[in-house]
Amino acid sequence: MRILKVYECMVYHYRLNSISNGEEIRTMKNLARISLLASTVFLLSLICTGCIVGRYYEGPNIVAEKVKDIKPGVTTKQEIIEWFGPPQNYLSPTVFNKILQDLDITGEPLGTFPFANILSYQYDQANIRALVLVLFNYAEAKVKSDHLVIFVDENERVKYYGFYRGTEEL
Amino acid sequence: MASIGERKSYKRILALTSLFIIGLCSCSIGRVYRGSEIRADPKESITVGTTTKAQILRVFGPPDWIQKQFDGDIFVYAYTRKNSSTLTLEEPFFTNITFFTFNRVQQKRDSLIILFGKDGVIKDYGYYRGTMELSPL
Repeated sequence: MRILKVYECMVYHYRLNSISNGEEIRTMKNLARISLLASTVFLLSLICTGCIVGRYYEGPNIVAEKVKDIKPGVTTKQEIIEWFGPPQNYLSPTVFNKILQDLDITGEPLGTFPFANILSYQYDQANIRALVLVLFNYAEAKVKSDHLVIFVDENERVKYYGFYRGTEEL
Repeated sequence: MASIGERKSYKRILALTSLFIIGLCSCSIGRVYRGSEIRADPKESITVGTTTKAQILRVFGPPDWIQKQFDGDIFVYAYTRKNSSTLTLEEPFFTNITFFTFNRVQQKRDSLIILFGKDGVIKDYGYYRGTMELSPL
């Protein structure tokens, strides 16, 4: 708007000074039109810039209904493995956690429990969004996890467990 | 009075200067949130010598990290936030020269550490809310 006003003023002053010369006024009008067009294109290039939305999912879905069936002292380790599959502490650390560790966002390996009496299941979800303008950029990443940890006693039965659905917060 | 040629050159200078100033500075803001906030106030939910591992799992959910020690387990709960902001002054069109860069990264963490005895009862705990220290920019 400021650029437009400057050019309007310039055209006005020029008209006052050389009102008798119609050709020059036309030239100035054309110049103002070209400037207006250039400014519009430039402003549009500022506005019409990138928007990035990303979603990342990793790990097996933890079925909340099955979690309700876990009974400490009753449910066996075998049943847990049948319901939820192989626990993740028997697998390598999840790729997303590895990336976060490499980026120094998590100092320690979250959600990996290398102990025989602990079964761990984790489902990660990351929502990433970014606004990329010429003068200003904003990026946001939220990483949440559904997490199930089960402690097993010496008789291979569930001793106690914990479950939290972090992905609902996204 | 300035001649038409002079006025045109003024306009060119004005246009080039405007483009240069607009392209000169850029600002970037980044946010990373990892994990879930600690779900209860430890001062209200934990009683040293009484609260058990099962109660902790019920109230706080599964820990983010477990460490085994010869005299019992340690549960670690963590919620990490990373705020970064960058201001750059540069000429991005022709020379690509960066004149000045200001970069600030703040990484703070809410962490709760609970120490259990061999009997599965809390021996001690520590809680710190680091994310409260984050400044908005």
